[in-house]
Amino acid sequence: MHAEALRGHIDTMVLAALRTGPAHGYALVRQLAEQSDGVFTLGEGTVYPALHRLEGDGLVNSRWTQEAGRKRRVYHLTAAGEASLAERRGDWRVFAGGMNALLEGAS
Amino acid sequence: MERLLAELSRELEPLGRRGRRRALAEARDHLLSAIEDEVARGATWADAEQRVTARFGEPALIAESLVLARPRSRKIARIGGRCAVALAIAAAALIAVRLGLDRGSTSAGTTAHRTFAITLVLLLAGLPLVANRRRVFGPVGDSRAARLVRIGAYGALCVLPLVVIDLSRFAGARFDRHTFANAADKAQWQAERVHAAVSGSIVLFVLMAAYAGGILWITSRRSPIPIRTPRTGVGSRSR
Repeated sequence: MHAEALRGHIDTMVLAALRTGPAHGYALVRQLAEQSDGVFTLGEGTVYPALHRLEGDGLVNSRWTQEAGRKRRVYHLTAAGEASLAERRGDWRVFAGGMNALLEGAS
Repeated sequence: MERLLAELSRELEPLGRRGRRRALAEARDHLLSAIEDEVARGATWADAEQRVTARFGEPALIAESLVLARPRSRKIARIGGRCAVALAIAAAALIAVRLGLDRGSTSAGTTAHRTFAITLVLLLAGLPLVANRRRVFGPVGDSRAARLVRIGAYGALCVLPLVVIDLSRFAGARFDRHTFANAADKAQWQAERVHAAVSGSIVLFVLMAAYAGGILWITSRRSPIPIRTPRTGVGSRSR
């Protein structure tokens, strides 16, 4: 998928992926790829800044964990994150509905 | 991998020691996880490491994205917002204590003043809590001026009711021990006090609520999309 098409939706995608449960950065990248049937393959330079930004906005929280002797930063949704995701979902439906109507009308 | 992490570490200088350590630990975990995945699919460690580091992306670009996304300024804004809420709650507590200790005037208008005080404090304490959830306000704008105005002006607004309430508590107190010539005069005087207190409180409440709402509205981020849009595709295979 063209990177330009993803612009502005990364945060929503990350929030949606975190809704299924806490995850570290790499797991999120894999989850996004798997759940989107390989359509969204995000790079490190996209996912981590998004996670840090969402944490700065209070939509996501994180903590260090120890797994197999390795330090891992695990992220999870906050209540504000859940609310923001619900709002973004609504916005997306409106946007997608409008775009579909437009494209169907053009065809 | 170590060479890549060393380069990333150099590029992450602006994040500060703590931020850099965190970003590096996350990058290391990410790389190791990716390598382990490749190995599990049958690749040798050396091949997997080469592939994973190759698709990791340019350390300079990744570092730039992380620096842009650093949450420090937003954390300061959040702390500031919480300070404003704490200030409003502290003002509410102070008012409650003050009203409890000293009842002020026995004038008939005192009840209206108290109702005004309690409603106003609840409004001032509650508005910042809903500010981030309502589309009309939203989180504070991405500039220092917006943060300063929201924290400073709202903080000042939280202190103002203390002054107003302290003054209004004794409004009409000089007539507390006044002996009226007849009951009609007294009733008339009390009605005037109540009318003045109610209308004054309503006007003041509307003005302060508008001012508080105005501060939150002016200083909020307009677009639901953050001003700093993510650098989509940096280091991404989809680029």
